[in-house]
Amino acid sequence: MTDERFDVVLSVDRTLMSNHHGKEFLGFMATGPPVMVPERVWMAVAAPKVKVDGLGRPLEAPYGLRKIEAALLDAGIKAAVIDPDHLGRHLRNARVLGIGHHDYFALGPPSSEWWVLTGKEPVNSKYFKRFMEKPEIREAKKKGLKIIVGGPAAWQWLWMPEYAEKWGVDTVIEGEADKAVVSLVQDALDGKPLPQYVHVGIQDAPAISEVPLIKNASVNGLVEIMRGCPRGCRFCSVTLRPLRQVPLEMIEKELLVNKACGLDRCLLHSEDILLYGADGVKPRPEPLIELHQIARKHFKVVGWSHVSLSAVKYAEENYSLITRLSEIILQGEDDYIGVEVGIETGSPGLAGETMPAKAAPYPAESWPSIVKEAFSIMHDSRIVPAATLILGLPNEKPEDLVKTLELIDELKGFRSLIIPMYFVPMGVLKNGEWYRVKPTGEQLEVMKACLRHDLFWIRDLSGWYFNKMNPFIRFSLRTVIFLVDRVAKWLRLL
Amino acid sequence: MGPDRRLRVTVRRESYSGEPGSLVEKLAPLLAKYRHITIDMHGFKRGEILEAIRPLATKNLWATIIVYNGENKDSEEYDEEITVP
Repeated sequence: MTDERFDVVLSVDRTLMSNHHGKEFLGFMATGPPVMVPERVWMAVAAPKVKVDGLGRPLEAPYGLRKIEAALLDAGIKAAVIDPDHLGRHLRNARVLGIGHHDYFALGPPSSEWWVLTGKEPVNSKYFKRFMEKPEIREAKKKGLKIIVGGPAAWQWLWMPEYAEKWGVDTVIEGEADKAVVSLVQDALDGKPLPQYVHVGIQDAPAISEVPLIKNASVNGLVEIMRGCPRGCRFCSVTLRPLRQVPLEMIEKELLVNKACGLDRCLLHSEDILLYGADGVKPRPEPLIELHQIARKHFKVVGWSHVSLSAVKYAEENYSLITRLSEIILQGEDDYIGVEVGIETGSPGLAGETMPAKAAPYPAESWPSIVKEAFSIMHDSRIVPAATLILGLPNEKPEDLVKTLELIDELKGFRSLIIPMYFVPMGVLKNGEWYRVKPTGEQLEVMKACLRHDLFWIRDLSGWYFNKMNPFIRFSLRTVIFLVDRVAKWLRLL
Repeated sequence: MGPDRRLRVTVRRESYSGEPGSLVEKLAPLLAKYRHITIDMHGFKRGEILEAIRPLATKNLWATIIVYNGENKDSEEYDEEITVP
C-alpha cells in the first residue's frame, strides 16, 4: 500500500458518498428519518458504502466534489476525494478539508418536510453531524486543519452559525465555486488568513470553458450538460444562474472518464434535459438526438435527471421527440426510465404568480392541462416522472390546494410518483422551532392523495425497479412498502 | 450586468446593533453597484459573522462578496472604502 499524501482532502458523510445501489431515487431516503425499520437497515438501503481503492478513494463520488477535485488538480494542487471511512490516515497530513453537501442540516426540501411530519431528524443531518464529530477531524482541526464548506446547501451555515463555531469551519463558500475555490485553497496552503464567507456572484460564475472536466468517476455516471435555467421560478435558486450549455465534446470526455472507471451507466444532468441546444424554451431535435446517441454509444443505461413538463409536451407535439429519444434510451419492452419533474401546483393562478415561465412556450393558465398531457406522453413512452409538488408556497390559498387535489386525481392513470415538498419559509428557520410548523388540513389531504397515488404505482413499478437488485435490499424495500401501506390503511389515510 | 467596481467595507463590533439583518440592510443599496465587495468585520466571533450576514442568503446577488474576520491585508485596489455605520 502506498502512502501518497494529499494536501487537500475532499469528503462528505455517507448519505452522499454512495451510489445508492445505482438508483439515485433511493438516495432520497437519506432525506428522511428511518421509517419502521432500524436506522442501519434504512441506511443500507439508502446509502450503502462505495468501493474504494487502496488509498480510500471512492470509485464513485458526488459530481460536485469531483468538479472541485478537478479544479484543484488542474491548478497543480494535490487533492483527492476520500471516503468518510478512510479520512484518518489522510487528515494526519492534509492541510485543508473541503466538504460539499446538498442538505447539511436537513433544512431543504424534502428533508424539512419529513422532519415536520415525523418530528424526527432526517439521517442526512444526523450523519453529517456525526461526520463532523469524527475524532480524526477533531484531532486534525486541533493541529491546524482548515475546513472549507460549500455546495448547494452552503446557505444553511448562515442559519446554523453555532455549528460553524463549534466545529471550526473556516470558510463557507456559496455559488459556483469551480474557479474561486482554487485561490481560496491556495491561500489556505500558503498560510494566509481565509475569509469566513465567500459568495461567488453571478457575474463571476465561470464560463463553461473555465469549468474543469472531472478526472474520476461521478456517482452513477452523472455528467452535467447545462448550467442554469431560464424559467425564473421564484422558489428556485438555480434560475438565478446564467444559462450555459456544455459542448458535446466536453460531455463525451466526462462520459469517457466514467466509462474508463468501469461504470456501465450515465446520468445526464441539467435542470431541463430537453432544453439542451434549444431555441429558448423550445426543444430542438438535432442536438438532443446527437447527445443521446453519444451517451448510448458508451453506456447501456442512460438516465435523465430533470425535464420540464412544458418541454415534454412541446417536443412531442412538434417533433415526436419524446418517442424518438425513448427509443434511443430504452433497452427493451420491459424497460423504463425515471426522471424528476416539477408540477409544484395544480392551481393556474398560483402557477402564474410563482412560476410564470414554467409553462412556456404555453400560457401559465393552461398549466394543469400541460401537466396532464406531458404525463400522458411520458406514460406512452415508458418514462416515469417522479414529480414534486410544493406545499406552503407564499400566497397559497385552500382553493389552490383543491385544484392541486383535482389534478392529482386526473393523473391517477399515469405511471408516476408524486412527492409533496413542504415549503419552509426562511423567516421561520431562525427561531429554531421551524420543524414544529404543522401542515394545514388541505395540505394534509394533498399528502394523503400523493401517498395513495404512489403506493398504487410503486406496486406496478416494483418488478422493473427491483430487477437485479441485491435480495436483501429488495426484501427491505418491499418490507418498508408493505408496512407503510398497512399503517396508512390502519390510520385511514388511504 | 453590474459595473466592474470594487468596494471595501469595514464593520466594527462596537457599532453593530447585534440584530441579524441590520448590517445587510445598511449594505443593501450598495450590493448592485459593485462587482466585488470585501467586508472586514472586526471584533466578531465566527458564528456572529455568519449570523450578521445571514440575510444575504435570501437575496439575488450579482456581486461577489468576501467577508473576513478582522482585517484582510490583501493587496487589492478598491474603488471605494467605507466604514459602517
